[in-house]
Formats: sequence, C-alpha cells, structure tokens
Amino acid sequence: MLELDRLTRRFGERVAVDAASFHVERGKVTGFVGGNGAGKTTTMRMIMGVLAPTGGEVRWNGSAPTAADRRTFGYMPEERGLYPKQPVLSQLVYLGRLRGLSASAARASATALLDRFGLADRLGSRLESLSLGNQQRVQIAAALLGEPQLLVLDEPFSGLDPSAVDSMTEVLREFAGRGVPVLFSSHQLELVEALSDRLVILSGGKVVAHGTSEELRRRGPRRHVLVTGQETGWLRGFAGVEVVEDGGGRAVLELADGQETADALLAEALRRGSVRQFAELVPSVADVYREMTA
Amino acid sequence: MTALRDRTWWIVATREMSVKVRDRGFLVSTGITLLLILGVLGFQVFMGTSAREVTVATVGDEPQQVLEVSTALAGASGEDVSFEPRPVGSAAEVRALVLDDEAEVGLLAAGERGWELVGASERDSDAEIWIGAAVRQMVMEQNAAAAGTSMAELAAGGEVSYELLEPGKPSGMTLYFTTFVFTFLFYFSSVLLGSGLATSVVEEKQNRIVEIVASSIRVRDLLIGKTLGATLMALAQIALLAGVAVVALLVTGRHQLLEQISGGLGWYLVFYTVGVAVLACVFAAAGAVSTRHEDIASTTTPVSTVLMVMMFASLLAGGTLKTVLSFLPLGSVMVMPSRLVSGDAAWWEAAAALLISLVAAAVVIRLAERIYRRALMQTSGKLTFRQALRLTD
Repeated sequence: MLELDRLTRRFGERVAVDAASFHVERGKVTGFVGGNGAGKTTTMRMIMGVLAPTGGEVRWNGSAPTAADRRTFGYMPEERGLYPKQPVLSQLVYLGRLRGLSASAARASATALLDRFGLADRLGSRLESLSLGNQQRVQIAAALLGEPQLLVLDEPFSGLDPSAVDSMTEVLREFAGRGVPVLFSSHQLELVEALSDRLVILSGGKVVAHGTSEELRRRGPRRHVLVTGQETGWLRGFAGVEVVEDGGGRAVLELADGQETADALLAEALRRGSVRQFAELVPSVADVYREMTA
Repeated sequence: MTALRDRTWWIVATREMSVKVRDRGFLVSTGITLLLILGVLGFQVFMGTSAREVTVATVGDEPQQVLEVSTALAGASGEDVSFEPRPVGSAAEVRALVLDDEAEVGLLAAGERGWELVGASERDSDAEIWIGAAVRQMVMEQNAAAAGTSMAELAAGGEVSYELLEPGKPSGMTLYFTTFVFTFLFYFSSVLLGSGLATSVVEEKQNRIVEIVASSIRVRDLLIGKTLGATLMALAQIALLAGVAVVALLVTGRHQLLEQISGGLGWYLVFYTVGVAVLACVFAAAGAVSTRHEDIASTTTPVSTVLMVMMFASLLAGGTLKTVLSFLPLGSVMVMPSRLVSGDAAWWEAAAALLISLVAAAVVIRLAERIYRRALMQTSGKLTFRQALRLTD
C-alpha cells in the first residue's frame, strides 16, 4: 500500500503541495482529480522520487521507499517522451534494464507488451516512424515493463485516441485485478468516476476530499426535488426546509435532518394536492468536485 | 557485488556507445578524418619517394662518367636524384634541347676552366650541387694522382666525429613536435566529444524521457554512464586514427620519429586518457545547464574558450607558468608529459597532477549531477550555472 503523510512541496514562496495525506490501496484504482496547478503532477513526482519533498513523507508498505522499491514502480509522466530515433524494442529493453530487469527478462517483457498492443511487427521501427497513437501505446508499455508493484500514471488518458483509451482502461482494471495499487490523475471527471474505486480531490495543493465515490457523494449536501401540480410557495415557511430554487411547481430543497422532515413534507404536499415526484437528489462526483473546489 | 553488465551506469554507457556507432554524423566524421590522415601521409610518401630524373644533354660520351659519379654522390647523401645523359652532336644542339625543354640542363666542356652547365631561364639546383661535386671530386683525384699522392692522404686527419652525451633523450624539436601533436589531438577530441556529449545529456531532458529514467536510476549514474560512454568512444576513435597513422609510418619506413617519441609515449597516453575523462565531465556539466539543443552552443563556449587559452598557454609558456600549468586539470595533459620526458619533472609530480585531474573530474560530475537534478523539471529557457545551483531538489 502507498501512503502519503502530510507530503509538502514548496517552490520558493509558493506551496505547490500542502500537507497532502491519502493512501492508495492494493487492488484499488484510485483517481486523482484536480484542476491545472492543483499539485497532482508535483505529488506524483514526489511519489516517484523525481522531486524531493520539502516536508512529510511517502511510505511504501509502511516505510520510505528505497531506490530498489522505486525501480518496481511503473510510471507514466505527464510530459510524455521516449527516444524518437531509437527502435521501439531496443529502447523498451533499455528502460527495462534500468529498472533492474536482466537483458532477457527486459526483452521478454517488452516483446510481450508490444505484442499485446498490436505492435509485434514494429519492434525494429524507430519510434518517430510510428503513428501518434502507436507512440502512445509504446509509452504505456514503457510504464508496464517488468511486473510493476505500483502504477503511477499522470494524465494517462490525455491525448489518447479512442482505441488507446480502451487499452488504457483495460490496463488499469487488469493491474488492479492483480492486486497492484493504481494511482492515476485526470481532469475528465466522468472517466474518473467510471473507473475509480477511490477518489482523491486536490485543490490548491490540499487534499480536500478522498474516499470511494459513494462516500464522496454523501459528503455533498443532500437535496430533494419535489414536483407538484400547484405552486410551491408554501415550502418557504415549512420548518426544517431550505428552498434552494423553486418555480412552476418544482422545487429543490435542502432538508435539515433525516427522515422525519421528509415524511412531514411529503404528507403536507399530498394534503395540498397531487405529488408527481419526490426524490433524493444524489450528487454526481462532478457536483461534489465543484462544491469542494469552489 | 553487482556484475558490471548489470550496473546502471554501464547499461547507460553501452546504450550511448551503441547509439554512437550507429550515428551517421559520427561515422562520417571518423571516415573523413581517417581519409585526411591517409591523404596527408600518402602525399608525403609520394613526395618523399618520387625519384627525380634529370635529363642532361651532352656532347659525345665523355661527360657520361661525370653524370654517373653525380648520381652516386647524390645517392650516398640520401637524395633520390639520377642524371641521365642525352648525347647529341654539338654544343648548339645541346642548347637547342635545353631551350625546347627536352633536357633540364646541358653539360658542356669549357676547356681549361672545366665544365659549364647550361639552363634555359633558371638554375637547376640538383644539377648544380651534384654535378658540381662530382666534377670537383674527379678533378681533385686527377690532380692528386698527378702530384704523386691520393685523396685519402690529402684528407687524412681531417675527420670530425660526434659524441652524443644523451643519445636516447629526444631533442628539443622532437619534444616540441610531440607535445604539439598531443595538444592538438587533445583539442581535437574536445571538438569530437564536446557538443556530442552535451547534446546527448540534454537529449533526455528535451524529449522528456528523463522523468522515466530519473524515476528508475540515480541521475549521477545516468551522467557517469553518458560520460564514460562518450569518453570510451572518443578514445576508441583517437586510437583508431593514431593506429592507422602509426601503421602508415611503419609501412613507409619512418621508424625514426616513432622510436624517438616512444619513450615518453606512455606518459602522453596516461595523461591524454585522464584529460579526455575530465573534459567529458565538464561537457556533461555544460549539457546539464542547457534545456534544449539550441542552448548548447552558448553553454559549451566557456569550456572551449578555457581549453583554447590553455592550449596556447601550454605551447608558449615557460618557467613558473609552465610548472603551474602542468598541475592544473586539462593543462597538465598538455604540459606535464613533456616536462616528464625532458627530465624536468619527477614521477611524483606526474602522480600528483593525475590525482588533481581525477579529483577535479569527480567534483565536476557531482556538480553536474546537482545541476541536472535540479534543472530536471526546468523546461523553459537556459539556466546560468549560478541559477542552477540555487535551485532546490
């Protein structure tokens, strides 16, 4: 399990990451959400040891990750890049060797990955001669060399063509399925919500929320919608009810406490006429995100 | 103990070398230099071995003996000149042949005075020297015989011999020549190494693979590997060129020069190797402050300038300045070997100079690592060395 404990990074006066604490569990896909400049990339760089923290610490299975541990982490940086002029297979073998694989293991792993991404016939081609989509697949393969024990993927979906998005999705699920903790960042909220078991929301360098999407939704304000056949002006005086918006027989309400207010409200509405709809509004992760980062 | 082939810096170095040997620019520049060396040697050999044949127009057969002696005398002095007679009927015909360029020179009997050489517009120096010497020798022999003595008797007691007190020691000229060649080679390698290594160091930063690499291995190992790879390639290239030159010298029979410098050659090679390593570290540091290829020209300029100044200083300096230079990194490559060979410096001075160079190399590569690591995420603009050191990790 990967844990971040009050991880902090300053650049001069600016605090890019401010005491960020969260964890990435084994076998769970954790989505890392935040706007541009929220500190996602800086956080990921500190996890990978590319950038030194100014405060706090990263823990891997309970202790500070060693260089040997980090060599087992698969990393896809936000700024993509490989050697444009080197053949695809040979550069993956090189990267695999840098991560501690033997020459034959690196070759086996690279060949298997390229095969998986449909590039088996391009092993000897220079990277720059590949289509952009295929270059992205090689980049994904670079992050998956050897059996990574942790995946840290910075904006893995940005710039991918639709079929590469599918490959990436498959990869995330597959590795989580094998018990590997997966952390990926994105600002495509719907995608994150669909893919992640857990979410971490970062805003201004601070972790403003983390948990499963269910937990996060519950953290948002619980609202109800009421649609009736008549005017809803009477709601404004009703005890325990705050009207968020209303008009034309439809009102969005925030109820002070649990079930009693809801029951009383519904009874009153029915007494006054017909009720077409009365339901709890479940916020989407996007709603929660907007609320949290507002 | 990790085996060499699994050490990260060695993995980096092997990649550098395998990329380099496939690099068209590197192959072409090596090939051109090789051709240049062979061309220069070939030209010299051609100039040195091409025998000169001087056609001499004569009247009758009598001057033939003079010409034979002339050819023999020239040969004894190591000159490859031969004089071929072209007998004709009269002095007028001799002059006509010379004017028509059919013969370089004409040789005519001039009665009591001896002989006369005839040329068109210029004197032929070979004819003047060797025919003149032949005639003098033949006349002196005749005159000696007439006086009842011999040339040997006349020359008795007139021999001057030469004793060399330090026959093995290279002359000042040879020493200067050797130092010049090595200094030039050293400068040449800096050109070969320089921008190539700096480019290769900045390459990862520019194409952003650096984050993947830096998350797998220490930046120091990356720089050491790159520096080592470039150094080995530069040494291999120079060894190839030097090897070809040596073989060419041997094939053309010029052993003398090789024998003269071979005594000090060991020192030159040791200093040269260490010097190239120091140079590589400095260029790696220059690459580290650059962010993109375009910056390299300006970041490597200070290094090239220092090297140029060192080169001229080492060729021109004398006295204390020379002694000081012989201990400075880079300077020692150009100055210490000649001080050693001339017996001016003791072995411990050489050891000290080498140690200083190695320490400097280690310091520079650490500095380069710090700069590189800190400037890693700096993707816009060129850093100054000072800014780079101020950045935090």
